[in-house]
Amino acid sequence: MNKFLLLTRILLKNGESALSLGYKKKSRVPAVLLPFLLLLAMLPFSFMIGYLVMNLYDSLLPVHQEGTILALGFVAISMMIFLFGIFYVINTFYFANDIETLLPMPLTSAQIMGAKFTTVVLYEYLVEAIIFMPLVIAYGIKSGSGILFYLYSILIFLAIPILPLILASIIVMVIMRFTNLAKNKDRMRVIGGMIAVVLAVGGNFLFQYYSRRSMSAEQLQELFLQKNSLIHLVSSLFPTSRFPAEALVHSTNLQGLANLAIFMGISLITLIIFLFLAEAIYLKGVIGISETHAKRKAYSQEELASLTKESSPLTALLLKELRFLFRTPAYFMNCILSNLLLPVVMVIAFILNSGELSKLPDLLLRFLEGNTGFVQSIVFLFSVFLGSANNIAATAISREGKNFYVNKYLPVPYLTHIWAKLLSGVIISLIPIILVIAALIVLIHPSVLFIFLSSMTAVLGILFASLVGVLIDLKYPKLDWANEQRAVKSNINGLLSLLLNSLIAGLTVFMMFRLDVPAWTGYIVLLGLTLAYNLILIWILAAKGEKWFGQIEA
Amino acid sequence: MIELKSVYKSYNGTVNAVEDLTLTIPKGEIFGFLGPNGAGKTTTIKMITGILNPDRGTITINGIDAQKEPLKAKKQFGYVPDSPDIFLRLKGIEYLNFMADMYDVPKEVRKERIESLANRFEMSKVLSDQIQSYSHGMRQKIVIMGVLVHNPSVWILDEPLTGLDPRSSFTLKEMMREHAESGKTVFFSTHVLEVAEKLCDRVAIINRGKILYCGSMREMRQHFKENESLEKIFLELTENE
Repeated sequence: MNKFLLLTRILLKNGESALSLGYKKKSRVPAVLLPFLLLLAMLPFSFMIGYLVMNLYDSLLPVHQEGTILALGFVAISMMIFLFGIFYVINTFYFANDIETLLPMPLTSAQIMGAKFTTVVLYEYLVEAIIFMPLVIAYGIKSGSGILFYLYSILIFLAIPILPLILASIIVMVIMRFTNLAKNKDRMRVIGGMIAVVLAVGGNFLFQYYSRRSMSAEQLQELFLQKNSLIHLVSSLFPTSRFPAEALVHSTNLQGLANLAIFMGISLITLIIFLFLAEAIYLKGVIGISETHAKRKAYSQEELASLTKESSPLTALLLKELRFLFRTPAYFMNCILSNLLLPVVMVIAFILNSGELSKLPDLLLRFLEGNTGFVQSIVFLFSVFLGSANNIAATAISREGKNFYVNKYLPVPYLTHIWAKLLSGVIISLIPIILVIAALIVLIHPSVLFIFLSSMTAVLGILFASLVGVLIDLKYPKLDWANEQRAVKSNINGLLSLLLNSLIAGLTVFMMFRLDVPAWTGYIVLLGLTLAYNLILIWILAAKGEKWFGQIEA
Repeated sequence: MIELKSVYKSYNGTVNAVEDLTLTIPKGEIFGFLGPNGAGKTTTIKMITGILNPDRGTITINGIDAQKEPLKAKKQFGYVPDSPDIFLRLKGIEYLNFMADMYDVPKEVRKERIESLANRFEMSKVLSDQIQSYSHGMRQKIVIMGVLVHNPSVWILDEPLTGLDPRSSFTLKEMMREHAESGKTVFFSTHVLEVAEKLCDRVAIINRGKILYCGSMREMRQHFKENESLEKIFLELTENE
């Protein structure tokens, strides 16, 4: 037990967890404070949730379904933790290359796993707090609950992430156990990560699809007659969520205590099962994780000739960036796969709902064509989000790490390096845009003009987001990381870029909304704005990029 | 030819890593750069290669000012850093071709050079694999090959022999000798005094950022006691500082 605590502390200190956001020790902001700063930044979001809960409470109280709010909240939290969890678990369990340092030490795999699991749980508490606190506090105030309600809440808060995270861990461990059998480990790990994400997203959709189908109108009506009966229905999405909801709703009587006990019991039992399972399969999946596949085969003359083609320095640097992004499992998972996740989910949602959508097109199309300025500003917001959420541009310099110096002695202008990095971000961010536009073409047949304008706006949005990211990373690169996962996952520049980008794009949309001018005037204003944003940023990059790049000494 | 004139470099404005360093590395010689750990060897090499900017002083490579015309200066030399763990996710051949692109090596020449280098360093069979899968010595070799692929006139090597097996070490030393004899410059740092003793035409000994001695091996012997080993001279020089 002592070793477990010791290891957990070391892992947290070493910054293997996402809690320390890539700050060096000498940083002005102590790393411990960062999570709280992050929470502070999310405060407006939390207030929004609190407000929503209070409103929902008022409208559900007359039909005696107010408890459903809790179930709904717990389901949402569990789902979110499960989805985020898949990424975190892969990152901390398999991509944080600390395992080869830990293996020679006298530790059991349950201890290693337990410590790693704890760091992930601690991080999830942070994410959970953003939703959980406003949910429970707003509900507590509205229902006038007593002290027991809040005591139960604390226990539930601590227990909620365990189950979805264990689910995510087990999926990941089983997949990694088998992908580790393959010779080319890098590639198989990437494929393993993809399978895990597809399973998680796909399973989620199937579940939703069936749970929606299985309920007839009469059954629904019947359900409404019983008090808080909807809890059962809602929590069918994540079955264990009904226990904490029931526990809080009935916090004053024995039924509540029983539900709490059941929930805590289930969490504890799964934790024990998980530790046994970890002992059995984790090490088999992680040993030799850093081995690389080697063919050891000489090239023929023809192969050599085709592999030694000449290209410009810009092309060569761009190719290098893309190869690193695709071949480094941590980069592939966090930058490329996560980049595709949102559009893929959107496209699947489109397709699953295509039945209902088929009635929409005319109406939707008329709206799209009639409000060009506003609609395009939404496209701008969406593409800015995609362009910054993948962190490619905002970690472009940081990803070089300790090898940044190599760029300094190559006889290529620093600006060429920067353009190559910018382009790699733009190109990869364009993939999801192309996917979504293709899906729109198939599903709602928009006009050629709409497609053309949207593509143009999207390119401008992505370029803008990537420029902001590259500039931030150029000015404050985080080159001091121990493993690749930290370069992209726990890099504050990614967060900064996302916040700054969302702020500017959000203000633009807000302005377009308030402007209320004819469609085309609005569009011209938007086009002017987005062009101006990009030109200003390109000008800054061209004027300062070379100097900033030269100042980086690592 | 490399020339450093009154070069200063401090970290955080206080600690002088290199102080008033003046050094001329002429053509046609193998020049060894010796000094204890933390003496300023790597800082000096990083300033010559443009990785660090000197606070004061000038550095010229083949007569080209490294501050005023950095790109032109960088094309004059090939640099082997002390850690070969770079570009690990690239395949050997991709790395060599990348370096050839960086230094504008024409297509006709690069294939031939890559082949002959691969043969000489016995690396033909691993070019299709990622550098990640290489041993330390193989990584060292691929980095050296990447430098030689653009056939630079000045070689700058930071601890190049660390981790090389005896045969590769012999090959590299042989190549360094050939390069110097063709009238070009080889500048390398090392901890291994035997290597310096056998290989170098001239050496400089640096400690705490200052050059303590610079001259040919023979002069050094005469300067100190004739039969004293380089090890003893080195220890004496760096101890009294």
